[in-house]
Amino acid sequence: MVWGAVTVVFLIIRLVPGDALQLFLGTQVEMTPEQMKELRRVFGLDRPVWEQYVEYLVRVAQGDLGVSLRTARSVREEIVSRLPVTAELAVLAVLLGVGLGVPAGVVAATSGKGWAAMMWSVMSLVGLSVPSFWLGTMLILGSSRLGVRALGTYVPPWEDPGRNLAAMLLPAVALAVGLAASLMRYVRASVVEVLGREYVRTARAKGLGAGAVLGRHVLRNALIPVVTVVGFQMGYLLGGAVVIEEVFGLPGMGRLVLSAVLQRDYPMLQGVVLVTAILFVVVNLLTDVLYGWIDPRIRYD
Amino acid sequence: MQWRRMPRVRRWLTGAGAGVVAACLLIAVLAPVLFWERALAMRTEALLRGPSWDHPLGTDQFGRDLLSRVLVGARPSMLVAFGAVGLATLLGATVGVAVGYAGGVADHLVLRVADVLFAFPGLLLAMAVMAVMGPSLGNLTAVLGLVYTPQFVRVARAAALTVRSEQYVEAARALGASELRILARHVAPNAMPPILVQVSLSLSLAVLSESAVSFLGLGVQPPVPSWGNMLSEGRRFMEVAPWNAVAPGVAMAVVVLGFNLLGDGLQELFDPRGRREVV
Repeated sequence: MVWGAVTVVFLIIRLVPGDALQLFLGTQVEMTPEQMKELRRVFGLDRPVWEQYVEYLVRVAQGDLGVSLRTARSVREEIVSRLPVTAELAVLAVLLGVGLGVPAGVVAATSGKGWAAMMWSVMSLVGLSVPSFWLGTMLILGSSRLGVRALGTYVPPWEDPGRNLAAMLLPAVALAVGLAASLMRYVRASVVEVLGREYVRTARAKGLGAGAVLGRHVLRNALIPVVTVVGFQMGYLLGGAVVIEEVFGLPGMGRLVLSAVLQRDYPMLQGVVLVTAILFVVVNLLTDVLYGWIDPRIRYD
Repeated sequence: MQWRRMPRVRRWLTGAGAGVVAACLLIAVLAPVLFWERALAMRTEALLRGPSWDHPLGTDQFGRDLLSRVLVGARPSMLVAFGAVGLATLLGATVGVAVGYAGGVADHLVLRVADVLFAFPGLLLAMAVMAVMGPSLGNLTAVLGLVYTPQFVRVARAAALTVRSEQYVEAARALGASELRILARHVAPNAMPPILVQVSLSLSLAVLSESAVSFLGLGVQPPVPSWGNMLSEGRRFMEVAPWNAVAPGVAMAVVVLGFNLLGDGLQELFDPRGRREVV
């Protein structure tokens, strides 16, 4: 998987029509053909593609992601300094999303088939349909109307947890709404399915109260598949974080990749995309492990 | 499930979704013809005005009519959404049905490639490719199309797997039909329903992605209006003129909701157990 991701990232840059170097330099820079040749040698662009590919693989395997074309800083260091912001945003959003989405899904599942159930389902659809970056903008607008400063400067949590949370809460909410809405739908479907199982009927028949049935028999079984869904949603979160960071001016990976895109800083771009893809794979691996741990019936060969 | 046997509220909601989608398509076709001038005409004497008779939604920082801009902005959204999803369906469904039916090495290989592509957050991949290829509507459509393809491969493959063991396929084979004919006449049509559901879900995602990319300045370029770039411009002035940030977002949300309602209705129509492929 990771090898595939590296290959795709390598190939994206090869998509550049014509000369990547020329594209990077732009049209303002006048250079003699000798200078161009020298630069090409420095960047290793004069060698065959497969040789560049092998070298790239080796370097990535050693943890060397190259050097930014704009700031001459190591791509790895730059990413490591930005990653905590995005990670914190994602974790907060997942916590909020699960905290809102799971209970809402359970309530929706037990609300029968009438108008109430339909209202829940419409609510989750509305939550799915509102673009997170617009919601973020509206949150900023709303809080400034209420006289609250929404755009705090980012402070690492280990320096000042209070101010850190103040700056991260609204962006996390903006990201979490979509997640909560989609989780709610899965939880609802899953709970409805489990409610129809025989062991639930047995539990009811032996005289357990509704709460005990729900807590001990239904939720335990219904929430297992939800773990996988949360893992899958991480990809969506990482993508959404790019836009949300731009909206709230947070110095995370999203801003990094955006400026890399706008400045044509290809090594930086490659690095961020690669790290994100690897993170996604790792998170999914972790969910798989977690899945097997929660549900001992599942055994991987 | 049959349309008539669906709960009344559900039918009503699905109809509303279809209505929104149809209306948006109509606007996307007509608005640029009718309101193009109004959407681009600057009026320095009426900057950032609130709603009025002349400008039902007010004006932006150049005095351009906001309502016209919102309506005209439907076009890039619909072009990208239908273009990208069309591409993904064509590519993904064809490959998916074919390898699902054939099985074997090709199936395994395609599935692995789809898995790898799936590991990239779609938006990030789109941004990366836009950076390399340059921002344009065509590029954005192509990239999003590729980003959505793996999903279609999976859905189509799963559908083809179920269909291939059906008795009517056996029957066709017993009658001496060629493999290609079985694939085209029996497997493909019967694998359609889940693919259709995927189409409507992807359409709503594509609308969101287009506006996100345009919001970041990598999609539709000003002065041509799109909901994404309108929001990104409008939010700079939202303290004085909140309409500029509110209107494009409402447009997006309504259209996406329309696609989602339609998708949900189709889902229930085709698969009443209410199961959803993990997206």
